[in-house]
Amino acid sequence: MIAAVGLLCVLIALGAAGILSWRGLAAARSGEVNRKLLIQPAAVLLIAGIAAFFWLELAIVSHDFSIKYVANTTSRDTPFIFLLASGWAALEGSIVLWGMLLGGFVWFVVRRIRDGDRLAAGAAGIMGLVAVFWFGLMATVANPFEICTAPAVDAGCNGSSWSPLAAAMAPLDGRGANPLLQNHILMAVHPPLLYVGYVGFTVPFAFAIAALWLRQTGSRWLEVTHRWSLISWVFLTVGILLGAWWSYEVLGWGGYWAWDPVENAALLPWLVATAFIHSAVVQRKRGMLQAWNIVLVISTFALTVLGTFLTRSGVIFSVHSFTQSAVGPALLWFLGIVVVGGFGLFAARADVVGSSPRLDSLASREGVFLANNLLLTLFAFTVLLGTMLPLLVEAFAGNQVTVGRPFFDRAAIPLSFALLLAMGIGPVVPYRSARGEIVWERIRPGLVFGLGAGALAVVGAVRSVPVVIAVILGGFVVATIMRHYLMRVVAVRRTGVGWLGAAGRVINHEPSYWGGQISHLGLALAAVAIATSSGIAVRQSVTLAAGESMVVDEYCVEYLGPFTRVEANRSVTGVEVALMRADCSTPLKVMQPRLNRYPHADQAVATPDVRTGFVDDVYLSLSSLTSGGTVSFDVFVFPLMWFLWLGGIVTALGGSIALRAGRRTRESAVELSNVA
Amino acid sequence: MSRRTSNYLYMGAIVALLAVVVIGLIPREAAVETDAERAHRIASGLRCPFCSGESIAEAPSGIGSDLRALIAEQVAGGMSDDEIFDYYVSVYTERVLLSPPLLGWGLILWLLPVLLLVAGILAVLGRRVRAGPLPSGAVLASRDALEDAREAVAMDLADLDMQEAAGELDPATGAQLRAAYEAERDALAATVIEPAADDGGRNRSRGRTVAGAVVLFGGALLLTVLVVVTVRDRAPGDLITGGIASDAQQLDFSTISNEELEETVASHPDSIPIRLMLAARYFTDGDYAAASEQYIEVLNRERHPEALANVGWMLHLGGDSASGLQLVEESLALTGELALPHWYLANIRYHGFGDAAGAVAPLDTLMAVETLPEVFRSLVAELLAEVEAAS
Amino acid sequence: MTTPPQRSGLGTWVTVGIGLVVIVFGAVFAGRFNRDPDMVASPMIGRPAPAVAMPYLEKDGELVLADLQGDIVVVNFWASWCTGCRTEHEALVTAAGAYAGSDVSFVGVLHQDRAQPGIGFLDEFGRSASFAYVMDEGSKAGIGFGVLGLPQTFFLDRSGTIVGQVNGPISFSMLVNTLDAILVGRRVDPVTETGDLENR
Repeated sequence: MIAAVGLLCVLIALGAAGILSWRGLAAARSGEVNRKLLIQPAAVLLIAGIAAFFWLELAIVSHDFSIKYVANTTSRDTPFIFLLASGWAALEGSIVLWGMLLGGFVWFVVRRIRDGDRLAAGAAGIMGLVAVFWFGLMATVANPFEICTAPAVDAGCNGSSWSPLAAAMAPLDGRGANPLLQNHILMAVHPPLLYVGYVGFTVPFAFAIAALWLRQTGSRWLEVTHRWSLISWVFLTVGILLGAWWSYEVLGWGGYWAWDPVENAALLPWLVATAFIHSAVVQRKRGMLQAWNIVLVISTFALTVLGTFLTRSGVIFSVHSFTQSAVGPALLWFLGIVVVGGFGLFAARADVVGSSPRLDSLASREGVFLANNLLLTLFAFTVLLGTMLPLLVEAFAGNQVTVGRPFFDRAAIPLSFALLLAMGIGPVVPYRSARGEIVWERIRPGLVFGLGAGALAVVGAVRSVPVVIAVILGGFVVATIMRHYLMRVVAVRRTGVGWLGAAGRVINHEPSYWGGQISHLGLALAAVAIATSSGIAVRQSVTLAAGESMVVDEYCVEYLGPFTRVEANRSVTGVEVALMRADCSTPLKVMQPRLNRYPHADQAVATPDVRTGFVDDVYLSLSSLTSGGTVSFDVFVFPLMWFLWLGGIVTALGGSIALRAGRRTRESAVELSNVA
Repeated sequence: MSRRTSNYLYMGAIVALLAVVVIGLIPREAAVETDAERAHRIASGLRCPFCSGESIAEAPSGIGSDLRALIAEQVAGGMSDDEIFDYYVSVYTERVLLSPPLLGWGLILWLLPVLLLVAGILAVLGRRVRAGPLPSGAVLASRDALEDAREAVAMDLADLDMQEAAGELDPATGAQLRAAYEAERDALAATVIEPAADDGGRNRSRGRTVAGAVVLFGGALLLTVLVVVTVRDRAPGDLITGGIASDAQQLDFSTISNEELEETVASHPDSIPIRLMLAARYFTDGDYAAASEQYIEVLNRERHPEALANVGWMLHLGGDSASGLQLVEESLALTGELALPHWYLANIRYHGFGDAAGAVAPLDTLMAVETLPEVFRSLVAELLAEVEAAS
Repeated sequence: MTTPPQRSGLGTWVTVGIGLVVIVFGAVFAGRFNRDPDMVASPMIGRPAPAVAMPYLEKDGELVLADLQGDIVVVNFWASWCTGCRTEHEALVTAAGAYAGSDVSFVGVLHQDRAQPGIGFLDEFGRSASFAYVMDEGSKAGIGFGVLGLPQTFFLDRSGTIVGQVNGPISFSMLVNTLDAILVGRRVDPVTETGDLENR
């Protein structure tokens, strides 16, 4: 029954999406936009999407193992919270979540449509088409409500049928949730946040396509979608940050970013979206870069689809099933349609997307924005190239090759430095045409501060060149922004406002600008942390017998002994290690790096233990526990690690502040002219 | 403090600090790489062959630490970097190398971004800078674009005032820009765009009605089919478990306790296979009271041969051989496939009614079954000998 | 950065270029469907088996593959945590029994696992007397053979050269066919893939 109702919800959503796209596109074409006709299917789409998601959750929490998805991703002893998370942790479930989120975005967009708004109606139609694709996936090749027809002997389901009416054969227990999921709740949280970001970019994409199609390639689509782009960007930022944090806290290899295809797939749309957010400012402020903005938006959306394709199709790494589902080919078709359709339409509308040459001088804020866009696009291109080239080489030359950290690091470090420099200079450069003295006056205090911080690092025995450069540039960015802000606050204060009031008023006056600057502060902090944690980290493998101790960097570790215990959903084998100061007598923390073993899973999951300190993090990761009573573990000391997490949060916070910027009130004017 | 003095102060501070940084970073003595550092560097350049993209230095898995140990051993054993890298390439192919080669396919990787950078710089530098006032109607393809352009130039003029007031612009530059913006504003004010021909207005209401009807009809049909077939095919009470299938022998129930089965039976009172299995367990354990309770529940729903035979046997054991015989015969009338009813029949006839001749036929039937387990066969043979002697 | 494209020139070129990129990548991606990206052509075929000493799992002493030269050797890498190893275990035990007495040696290398669970695995799924079960200390044998995951099986000819390799669970018929081919001196398929390779 659950399966039938769930699939019915999916089919209803599919139908609603179809009707929405049909009505939206027809209305945009004819110009007879009737809000009511659009809001009905949008509401049905949202409700059916939510219902499908909740039916899946219901099936999971009630252990309905007659549904294959439930049988293969959960079990009776999975804790409740991970049962809920299983609803989106595997392929089919993640598509259901995707569909529900898309339904939400569609609803919010359609709700604001006014009668006669052709652009928004067209965008609603395009979003409807995207929804048709996702719900179509659910209704066909990625049906989450497939009935189990061949239960495995012990647990799980081996064969299934699409039809909700097939004779169900429920296994007595399910296969259990993915151990990596069960190991840390972050694994359940960060993918949905990324999805919100991914799905959100459908909105600017749909508006851009509708604008091209309807030849309304002015700035209006940009104004309308500004908010959606920022929301998506904030979620993408938080999603990537939490992914990195999860990798650091859980995976135990002593890092947070491995440049693997999954991470790159999330980084690519983030980079292009960041470029878009900046170049959108130029168009909004100066009417330039119209065509470029459309290119960036189509690219961002295409990259989100590419990211989904790469992570979900098994073309880059094994998804551990020898015969893969048809989701991969379907996503590939969708990607092809998005790219060919999007850029094809762009080329066909080349006559309306050009903007007039309004650049007054390259030595201006606009010029720095151009540099920023060049750098971010180059960054994205390089990451994309590094991710895809092994596939091309294998296809054309036949040999399997790898592009890994050495390449990405070598490319990312200079690009990041250039971006930091632009971040420090750009925001204080005047628009139009900048006088050299003005810029110099504004950046020199920051330069002194940054160089001072760098000199301090050098005096403090930091010998790594990239780290010192990162500290100089990070200090430069932070100091320049803070100086600029303080001067504004002081100026406002002269009008008789209190310090706090002035501090708030400056930001409230220009939330868009100051939100951006706060994001820059966060990125500068993160850049310093990334440099210190990779450039001057200490890593050492230690083998100790019980009672032995050893000094690592500024710390001393003593092996106390092994322990095993049974926790709610896992059995834990680990060791206790006393962390002390280098004198080996001042205790700091008893750390417990461990291996977690889950029922239904053959593999143990190694989990490190981290002590976060003000100066540095101490990170212990268990490598082996021998029968002879000795233990081997890796000790890492990462300086200033918390800067990264703080920086990430500040970056996202800046984006949220920028969201408060009100839209320019010219929609009414456009509408009037449309109606006339 | 004059402007000039403060400028000199800043310059001095910047030069001094830069000197500190540069001098501090000049390596004093040639750094000697320890074995551990060398091993780590080599391990960082090799991909853990089965982890997703991580290097051997980072791989947390057991094989990762084994590989690290082996590299440390090779470094200690005096192998050169190239020898070590070559060894791993020979074992795991070229794909263990994380760093792409500088020549061959790796060239694309290094060259393309550089080419893009150059092209980008050229594109930025080559951007058309406003030469003078905008020629009227230049790229204004739509009324939308005209609106945008008008608004932009109005904003430009307003911002220009603010920038001039703040002293951000050279007076000369400011005046030049103002002249350009004003000229543009005037040109735009004079531009008129013909309204685009209206392409709407076709009557599509009929098509809409037809398609709506088709969708509605199709949906309703689908819904009906779904509901009807769902209700018919799936056992009642299966909202949650979807019904445990009838051929339960495919499932391994050995780990399920009687109590769990009782629960299942209670929640799915109509599931006959489960009830039969539970009853059979009680029956085998000799708990006839519990077994008959379950069998009777089964018989209330279906005249199931296994239940009939076993209940008949229990009745016979309880002394009521007549009723027992009746039930076993009913079971055999339903199907002759089960072995036990034949055995029961022979026993009840022989032991219950002393009818040795009547017991021969069912025993013969059993002996003819080739797949009969040996232990059972010997019992049957024993009884057959006994009844043949008695008759 | 983008100058306004002209309808006839740049627009067409952009479309053509993007179309080409899409076609190339589409073909490349489509060619990868239904293939396990973790599978790699092994460079080990035709090379002598690595000389590693492996301690016996259930008795004292060590096994060196070179000592088995003259025999045809089946080297099977397995572990208790590997589910594919359970699938293939019976085939291996049966084959070892069938070839007992002929000059074929079977070596089961317990890879990335401890002795205790390994012995437990054999207790549960059975062992063959003509099978040499050994431990892979420090994964040296696994690394030497270029093992990418379990189960993986290698065939060595009489000179100790690796002539065949099966990635994934091996079946009885595959064992018999390959061994017979080597016995009569026919060439064997260098690499056969039957399923996923597992890693812990």
